[in-house]
Amino acid sequence: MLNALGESRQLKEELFKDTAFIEDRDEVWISSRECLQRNLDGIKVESVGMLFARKKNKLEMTVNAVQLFCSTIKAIELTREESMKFIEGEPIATRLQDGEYIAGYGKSALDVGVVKQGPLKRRT
Amino acid sequence: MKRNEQLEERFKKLVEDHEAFFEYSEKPLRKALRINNIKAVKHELVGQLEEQDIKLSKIPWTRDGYWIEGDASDTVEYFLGHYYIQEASSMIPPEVLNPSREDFTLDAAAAPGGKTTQLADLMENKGCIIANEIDARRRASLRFNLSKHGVLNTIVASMDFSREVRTKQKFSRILLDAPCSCEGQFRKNPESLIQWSPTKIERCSRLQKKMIDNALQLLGNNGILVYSTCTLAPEENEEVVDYALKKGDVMIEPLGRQNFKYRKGVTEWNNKIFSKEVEHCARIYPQDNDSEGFFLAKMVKCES
Repeated sequence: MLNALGESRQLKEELFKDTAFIEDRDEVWISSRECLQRNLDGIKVESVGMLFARKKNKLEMTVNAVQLFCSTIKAIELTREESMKFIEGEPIATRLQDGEYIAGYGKSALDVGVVKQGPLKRRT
Repeated sequence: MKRNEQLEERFKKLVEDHEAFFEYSEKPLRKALRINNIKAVKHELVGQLEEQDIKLSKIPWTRDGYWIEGDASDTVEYFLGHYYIQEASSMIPPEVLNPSREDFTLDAAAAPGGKTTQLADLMENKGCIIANEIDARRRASLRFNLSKHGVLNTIVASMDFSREVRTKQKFSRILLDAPCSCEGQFRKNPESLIQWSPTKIERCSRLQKKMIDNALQLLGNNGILVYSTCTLAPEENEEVVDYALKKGDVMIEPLGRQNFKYRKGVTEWNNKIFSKEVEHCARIYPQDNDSEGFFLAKMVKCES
């Protein structure tokens, strides 16, 4: 799974060292390894760790996973003002080819953006 | 602040310097944030916020807390979960509990998640925290905040601490930040003054005793339990701690010298006499550190 995502999302592999994945129907969750090693008998568990991705036509990382695990090396770098617009779903003028990109602000990944015939917009 | 004579009389009895108490209770609360080291680099974030005219000054009793002047709720860094907007005195209980990555930690009443995210940060996002919340709507906000702040070492659970919790698990650290009558929150939420009543205090006290019963049951040998509330009513504080002490197997660890001002716990209230040991509890009044009012006790389970 990470290999499939790795190229398009530029994942920081060292961050997965002490983590474990849990598949639950159409969702993939990620947690610290210790969470899965614990005996949880008698504890009414609602969820373990953080929702990492949803399986739709393809695997879609959640915004929280993008922010935590995606590198900004090849990201589209936005200014602070552009980042605020991007977060609010407003279009950002670009000359990029159609496709999906990581939008970055400084060293942080904001979320996945989509370019379709013109501007970059945050995915919905 | 709207006056409530019955409440004023209680505080006059309870707080020696009650004039200062009333004065500070009417002042607006200082805003504060805590840097989230799971996602942010501290020195970079401080610079980024100062560039946006948000002035920061270090809160002395917590590693990553700052008082702020300016609006920090509408920045890119806030969206990124690089910090949590959190009241300064509410950062104390996780600091006192001080879990490490080796601990199995329980946050017994976790929503909305400010203290849980702080515990996760202190544990370097390793080990395991059970973040418990019985209310489904509050659990949704807990899960939102945990995810936003990049927390991976937490299991969200929904055990009912108002009834007997049936598990044989033992925790090395427990935070019980109990639901309370919120007397310490009048600065943040003047509406809580309207909801205040002696009946509510009695109801909260009964619930808190049940919750501490369960927490003690789940605490392993030599484990640490921090009991805290954002209220100042002795019925919800020293009386609950006294109740725990009488159950046995637990002692209060004095907080010793801290970077915040606090008063010792009261041993008498409304004709009730508590164990002398409850003096080791900490009462924090708004005038002490220019914060909300708060109470906490650090307890250690003796080997059985």
